This record gives sequence, structure tokens and C-alpha cells, in this order.
Amino acid sequence: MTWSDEELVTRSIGGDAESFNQLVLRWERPIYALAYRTLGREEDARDVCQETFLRAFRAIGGFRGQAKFSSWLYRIALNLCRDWVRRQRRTPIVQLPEDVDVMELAAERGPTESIEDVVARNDLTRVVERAMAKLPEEQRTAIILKEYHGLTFQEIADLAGCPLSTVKTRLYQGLAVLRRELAKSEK
Amino acid sequence: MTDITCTYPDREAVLAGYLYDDLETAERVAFDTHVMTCLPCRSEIAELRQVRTTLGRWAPPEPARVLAFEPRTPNPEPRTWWHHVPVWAQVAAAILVLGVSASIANLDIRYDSRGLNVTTGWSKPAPVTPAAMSATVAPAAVAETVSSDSVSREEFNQLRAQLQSELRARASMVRAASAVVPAGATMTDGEFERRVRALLDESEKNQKKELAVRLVQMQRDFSALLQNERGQTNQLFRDVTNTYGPQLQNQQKQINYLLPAGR
Repeated sequence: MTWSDEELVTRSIGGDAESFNQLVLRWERPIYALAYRTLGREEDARDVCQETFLRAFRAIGGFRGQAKFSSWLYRIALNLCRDWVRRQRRTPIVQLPEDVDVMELAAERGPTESIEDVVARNDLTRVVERAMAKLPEEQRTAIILKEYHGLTFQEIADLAGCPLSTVKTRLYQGLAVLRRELAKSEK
Repeated sequence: MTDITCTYPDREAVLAGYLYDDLETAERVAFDTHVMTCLPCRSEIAELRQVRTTLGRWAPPEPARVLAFEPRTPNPEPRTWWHHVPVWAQVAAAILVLGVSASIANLDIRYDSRGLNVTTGWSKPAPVTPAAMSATVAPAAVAETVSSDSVSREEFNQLRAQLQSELRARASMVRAASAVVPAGATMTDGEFERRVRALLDESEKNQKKELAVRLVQMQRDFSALLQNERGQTNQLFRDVTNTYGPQLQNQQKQINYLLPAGR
């Protein structure tokens, strides 16, 4: 039987550690992906992901179900990403680590992926990450939550604490910047 | 790149909603109608869709594990209900079944100065006679048989075959005796009683032998059952160790992680 997030949260609050484990298993990848796209570094994303679940574990007793569990989790992760960027004084996002070897990536490719495909994918990743790095934080967050996590505009507005129309505008403006940056990289 | 000259009201927000198919129906219909006649909007929508396509191909790396601690995975398959019954309870149930069976069979096992005496059935026991006493299984013989775990099925079958041959011999003797006495010939009461008693004694003797054999078989089955239960207990212990050992380790890791001193 598959429990809903809300049921698992209720059981976790009741002291069922297994239910919290289920929530972690269900949400660790999305939270990691969110952190990675926001921070651009695998290690940082992993740390933020871990910290997110740690905080959620500590605070789950106070979760009253006003929002969806996933939204609550996203809020924790985004706050951590913001703090992370400020504390580390790093430019969020960007490039693969210098030591990443395309040939190594190619060796790990799927059975149907040629070396050319791996190289192309690697190039695309670099291009997108560079373009995303040009975006202001609010625009980047809006695009990530909408594009990769499928949140509604209202959910993003609730998370960001801003009006719905602001979210839509941020999203449009972010996409416009990306269009320009991606066009530059093609030249 | 498109030069925007369109002045559609709240254009940026509407365009974002349009791209992500997140507009009210009326709003969508109105914008659809507008797009049909607005080249800048059509061009921009096409370009932004292309951006979305590119973004869709940006995937984060897939680490083998995201978290340092490993959440427990659910048990792969539910165990059947009887796996949850403790082994001691299963053994107790087996003993109870044996006890009830013995009670239904009115099994009476006595061990006294005359040795081990096993009777069954609801008929009253025959009065003890010297013949019956001689039929009582000798204690040493039974002890040897019962205590021997090495009684094989082959030996059991041999014993059974022997009993059957004796019974057949007895039947032929009775038939022969009947043939010797001519029809209509009268037999004295004493002679008749002697023959009947001999037959009964013989029959009781065979019955007791058979019972002794069955008792041995029962004892062997019970030993096998206990052995099996012991094996299951060991297996259960191994399962528990294998299943919960790593989980306990992981829990310990999580606890260490959660404790402020652990960081």
C-alpha cells in the first residue's frame, strides 16, 4: 500500500520512523535536483539536501498541514540554498568541476548513448548552467520550481511570498534572459 | 530575436501562463485570438518554447546516493501469517495436537514392573493372564526400540510385512482348524473356549507389537518436527540479524548524525 505524503507525515509525527524514511526516499531526489540547479555544485547540493531532511525531521512535529508537505520541504531547501550562497559568498550555479573528464562520462554512458551524444550533453549542461547563472535569484528559483518541479504559479507565489502575477512576470523575464544567453552561446 | 511591439495588457504574466498552460479558460481564449493576429507574440512564444526544450535537457548528475545516511527500505515481501507465530507456540501447538490425538485414540501407556504396556481403543483391556503378561513387551526390547533414533523406514516396513504375514498365517490356521472339525460336529465348551482364548491372545499380541512400532514412528516424527523447528528458529534468527542488523546500523548513523555532538 502506498501512503500519501500527508498520511506519512501524520504517522511520522506519531513517532513512526519508518514513515519518515519513506518521505526521505520519496523526496530526496527532487530536493537534491532543486539544490543542484540552484547551487550548481554536487557536493553543496548533497549537503543542502541532507540539511533539509535533518531540519524537516526536527520540525515535523510542528507541521500542521497548512501547505503540502512537498511545498514545506521546498521552502526549507530554498532557504538553505539562499543561506548557503550568502555564507559561502559564491556565485550560485555554474560549470562542471574542472576535473570532470568527458571520456569518463562517456564510459559511464548508457548502452544507446554514443560518445558524441555524451559530449553534446555535457556541452549543453555547461551552456545552460552558464545562462542560469546570469539570472537573479528570484527568476532562477521561479524557473526551476516551474520547469523542473511542476509547481503551480500559486504554489511558487506562496513559497516566495509574493503575488501570483509577480511570479509569472519573474518567470517570463527569466526565460527572456535565458533566450538571450543561449542565443549568445550559439554564436 | 523578436522586437516586442505588442501592447497586450499584462502581457508578460499572460505569456508565462500561456507557455505553461496555466491560464483561465476565458483568458486563454482571449490570448489565443490575440496570438493569431500578433506576429511578435507568435515569434516570442516559439522562441521561448525552444528555450524550454533546451532547459528540459538539463539534468543534474545522478549520484548513487544523495544522503550520507541511508533511509531504510521497506521489506521486500510480506511474510505469511504463520511466520509471525513464535516458534515456541508452534511447538506447543504440535504437542497439543499429539496429545489430543492420543486422547482420542484412548492411548494408554504404562510402565511398571512388567515393562512398557501400550494399549489403545475404547474396548476394556482383557484381564491380565499369564499369556497376556508374556505378550507384554519386554522393557529392554522396547527401550532399545524406542530410544533408537536409527529405526529406519525400511525396518518399519519390514516389521509391518512381518506382522501382515503372521496375520495371514493365523487366518490360514483358523481356516484349517475349521476344516478339521467336520460340519455338524460338536466341540466341547472347554475346547471352544481354549481356541477362542488362543486366538484372542494372539491377536492382542500382534496388536501390541503394532502399537509399539507406531509409537516408535510417532517418536521419530516428533523428533523430526523438533529438529525442523530448531532449524526454523535458527533461520529466523539469521533472518532477523540480516534484516535488522544493517537497519540498526543505519539508525545508529542517523542518531549520530542528529545528535549535535555527533557533527
